[in-house]
This record gives sequence, structure tokens and C-alpha cells, in this order.
Amino acid sequence: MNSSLKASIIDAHQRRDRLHPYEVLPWLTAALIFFLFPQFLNLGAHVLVTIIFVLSMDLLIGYAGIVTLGHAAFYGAGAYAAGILCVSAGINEPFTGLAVGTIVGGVVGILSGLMILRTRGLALLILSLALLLLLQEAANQASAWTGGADGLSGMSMAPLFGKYRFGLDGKVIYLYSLGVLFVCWLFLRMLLATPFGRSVVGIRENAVRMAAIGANVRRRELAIFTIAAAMAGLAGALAAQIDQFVSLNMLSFELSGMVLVILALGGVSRLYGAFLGTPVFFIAQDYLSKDNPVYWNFWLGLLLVAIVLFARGGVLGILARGFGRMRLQPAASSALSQARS
Amino acid sequence: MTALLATQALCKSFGPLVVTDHVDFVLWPGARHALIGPNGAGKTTFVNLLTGNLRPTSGTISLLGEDVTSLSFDSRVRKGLVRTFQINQLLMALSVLENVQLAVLERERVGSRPLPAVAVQRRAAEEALDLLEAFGLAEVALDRVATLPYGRQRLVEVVVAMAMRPKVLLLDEPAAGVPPSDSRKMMELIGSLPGDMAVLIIEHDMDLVFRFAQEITVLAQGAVLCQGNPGQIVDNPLVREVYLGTQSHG
Ligand SMILES: Nc1ncnc2c1ncn2[C@@H]1O[C@H](COP(=O)(O)OP(=O)(O)OP(=O)(O)O)[C@@H](O)[C@H]1O
Ligand SMILES: [Mg+2]
Repeated sequence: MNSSLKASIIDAHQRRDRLHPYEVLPWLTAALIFFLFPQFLNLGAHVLVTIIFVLSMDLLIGYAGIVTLGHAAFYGAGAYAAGILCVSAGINEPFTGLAVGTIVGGVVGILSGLMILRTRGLALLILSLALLLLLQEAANQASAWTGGADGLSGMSMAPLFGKYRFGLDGKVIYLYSLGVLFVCWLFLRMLLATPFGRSVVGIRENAVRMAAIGANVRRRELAIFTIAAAMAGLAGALAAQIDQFVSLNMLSFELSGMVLVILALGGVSRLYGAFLGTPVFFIAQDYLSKDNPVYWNFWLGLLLVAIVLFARGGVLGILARGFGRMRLQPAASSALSQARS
Repeated sequence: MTALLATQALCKSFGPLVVTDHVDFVLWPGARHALIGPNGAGKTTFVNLLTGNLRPTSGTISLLGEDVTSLSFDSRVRKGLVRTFQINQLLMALSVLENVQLAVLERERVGSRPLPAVAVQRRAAEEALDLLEAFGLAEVALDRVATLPYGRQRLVEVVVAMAMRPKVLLLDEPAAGVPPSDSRKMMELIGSLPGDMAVLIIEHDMDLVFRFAQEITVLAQGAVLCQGNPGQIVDNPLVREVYLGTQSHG
């Protein structure tokens, strides 16, 4: 095999991690919505925050292959951290709140990771759920800090950058959420292409293999678990700030379940599954529960059955199959087919 | 000369079943050693004990003169003890190239780096491709492992182990399921490994064993039945009775 053919194989291999032009689409869409649909900016901000949360879940389920039902624990922890910081400590600068929410999410993540990552599969699923329920009950009991079942209200955030107030028109919270999402996306895009990111995918594929080439599997799983938890904490803190309210629902099993559903809708282990699945979920919820909210769960169930039976990989999976051929690297594949013949 | 790998009175039981029975075993630098024995003799279990995939019931294992009995599988790998599996353990959804590239990165201790390392990854991919070429796998480098026929996946399993540049290499039936043309090539390559590397191979095909091994250990019901050079093993009446007899006349 000559060296130029080899070089083109290596190029094709390395090209996977490069930015593609279509990756500008979500950001273009977000900008268009800002300018064309000002009436949707409040809803839009919530969609953006949820995307961050779903991304953090995709990191666990889609990339690391760790399936949990307790991911809302870190979201809720971040939300309460930001809320308590604001209400009880009087620190209401938004970015400080985000930082604290991220750290608290990460710390809760590493502590619970140390416990639950000893197990696999069903045991891990149940343990993660148990931790979430424990945390929810703890938040319920500590009502002096958390407001208990009434929720934590009375957050009033300082203006962003000391200048931009969180107004009712939703402009500031929309752009704020969009900015945070962009940073998160950039971070994940970078992280997943690093040797660490690829080794996590390797662990998802076959943990025994990764140990057999000398990787400390438990430690890497703990690292990715902590990162995912910190990002969920960040999303929770952001949600608390834009709602200026934290409730026990943010620590609920239902929320964990919703994120799973969104991932199934959008497509797992493709960052853009979160970007597609979240708005689809919100719009479907809005549309399908308009006439009769009781039927929402029925339609949602039907949708899920359809996805699992006919469209594994979600909306993105369908798109990817449609465009599959376009993703082949022309130079390398033609060179290779020559070499084979 | 110090032994690269040694066991003293190594035992393993699964409940009442004794699968490894007081095995004393030494692998010297440059060894070309074969471990043979009938099905269920405990060969794979013995390798699992050596690597740390299983914990012994009693006895000790030392690697490069150091007691590693309580060390984990992956830390033994990092000390240079590398194995292949009787049943493939590969990253099925990833490309052949990346399977080997990740091994190179781990060997270079950069596998846990959470920062961009494009140049390092490129160099690792180049090394991986060169290795794949030596095994006739360069053409399928970009294919997902899952799309290869089983025999070629067996080859990938061996290439990944080679990429680790082991000090001690343990091969558990590497040629099982590989078509004859490929298995001859595989044994040639295994035969041409660096001279100071110690290689232990489990293999049922006696032609391959006698062509490759300078030393043979026969395991029966978990215990060492006998050990010696190929000539001694062929002539040993015990071996003929429990193993070769049933193999060559059966
Ligand atoms: N985890 C386990 N639990 C219980 N018994 C086991 C376990 N692993 C292996 N055994 C038993 O130990 C014995 C030895 O198995 P082992 O796989 O080591 O044999 P082997 O020599 O590699 O055989 P083969 O040539 O078929 O690969 C067998 O009787 C097997 O059933
Ligand atoms: Mg075996």
C-alpha cells in the first residue's frame, strides 16, 4: 500500500472529528427564532436549558453507555444550590450561581458515582433511582432552606454582566441560555474528540477490551459521570435562574424519565439528538395537549412505541439513514475500492 | 536471568470444582511456550489468573520479579502483560483502525487525556495502520469491526495486542476460527515477534504448536501433567494417553 493511500485513510479517519457545515444549523435556527418569533422567547429559553440537560444525559447514556434513571438528582442539586445561594446567601450574580450549581452538581455526581458505578445494568439503574428519591426527600425535609413542597421562591437575579435585566419579554434569558448552551456544546464537541472522550466510547463498546489495553475503566467512568453531573447541575442552576423558582419536581423521577424520552425521540449518542428531540418534545406536548391534556400521555406513549419499533436512533437516526451516503469520504473510499480490486 | 512471569502453587476453585491445581509455572524472556490440554483442562482459567481477570484461591503470581497477585487486570497490562481472548473482545461499532489506535494511545499513557491531541492521535493512527498492513488488514482499516468476518476479527484481536508492545504476550487460541491461509500468516507473524518478548500460546492445532513452541506445558484437570520440549512431550506416554492419543487417533 503506497504512502499517499495511507495518508488518505488516515485523513478520512481523522476527519470524523472535524466540524461539518451542517453544524451551523441549530445556531442559525436559534438566531432566526430570536428575530422572527419574539413571542416564543420564554418557551425558547426553557427549550435551550433542557437541551443542556439532555446533552449531559446523552454523555452518560449515548457515549459512556451508563444508563441511569437518577440524572435529575444533579439537575435538582444544581438548581437548589443556585436558588439557596441567591435566596439565603443573597448572592444573585448569575454567573456565580451557574458556577456554584456546576460545582455542586459535580460533587454530588462524584460522590454518587463512587457508590453506583460499582454496579452495572439493572442494579445501577435502581441505585441511581434510589439516590434521586433520597435527595428529593432530603430537599422536601430541609424546608427551611428549600421551601419544601412549596418550592423555593423569592429568587431575584442581578442583571447579567451588571447590565441586562431578566425582563418579561424573555430576550435576556433566551440569549443567556443560548450562550451557555453554546459553551456546553463547544466543550462536549472538544471533549468527545480527545483521547479521553474516545476511550469512553470504547468503554461503552466493550469495557473488558479497554481494560485489556490498560485503561482504568472505573476511573474513566467516574470522570465522565462527574462531568455529566456537573453539566446537569449547570442546567439546573440556569433553569432556576430563568424561572426564579426551584421546585421538588426538579429532583423527580418524572424529569429523569422525560429526558430519556427526549433522547429516544432525538437520537442517542449523537449530540444533535438533544437539539432535535427537545423542541420536538416541547412542540408535541404543546400541540397534543392543547385540546385535551389528558390525552398527552396517550400520544406520548404511542409516539415512543413507534420510535422504538420503527425508528431506533430517533429523528436523527431517520435523517442519518437518508443522508448516509453523503457522509462517506469520497477520496478515501474511492482510493480504497481501487486498492481492493 | 530473572523470570518474566512466574506462579507458585497457584490454585483456583469454583465451589467444589478445582480448576487450577497447585501450578508452578515460569516464563523466561524470549520464551515460545505452548500450553496444551484437553477441553476443560483449565487453560483459559490459568491465563485469567495470570492476567488478573480472575483471583486465585491461593498461591502467588509474580511479574518481572514483583508480586502482582493482588494487582488489577489493567495495572498488569500497564506493566507489560498483554493477552488476547479465546472469544473476541473488540470495539464492534468502531473502525478496525480505531481499535488499534486506542491501544497505541493507552500504551503511550495518553488515553486518559481530556485535552485535544490531534497530532498524537494522528501518529497513533499511522502506527496502527502500519501494523494493520503487516497483517493484511489495511484495506479494511476504515470498516467497522462488526462488518468483518469472524476470522478477520480474530486477526484484529491479535493486532491490538501487538500494538501494546507487550513484554509478555498470552494468546488464547488465536487461530481458532481463522481460515487456514490466514492462520498460517498469523503464526508466521507471531513467530517473528521480538526475541526478548515472552509468548505463551494456548492452541489445539498440534501442527501449529510443534512449529511454534520451544517449550510445552500439558495441563490436565487443572494440574501440570508434564512439561518439556516438543520432542519430550510427543514421547511422553502420559501425554499420549490423556491428550495426544485422543486427539490424533480420535
Ligand atoms: N466462572 C466459572 N464458574 C464455574 N466453572 C467454571 C468457570 N470458568 C470455567 N469453569 C470450569 O472450569 C473448567 C476449565 O475451564 P477453562 O475454560 O479454563 O478450560 P480450557 O482448558 O480453556 O478449555 P477449552 O480448551 O475448551 O477452552 C471447565 O470445567 C469449566 O466449566
Ligand atoms: Mg479455553
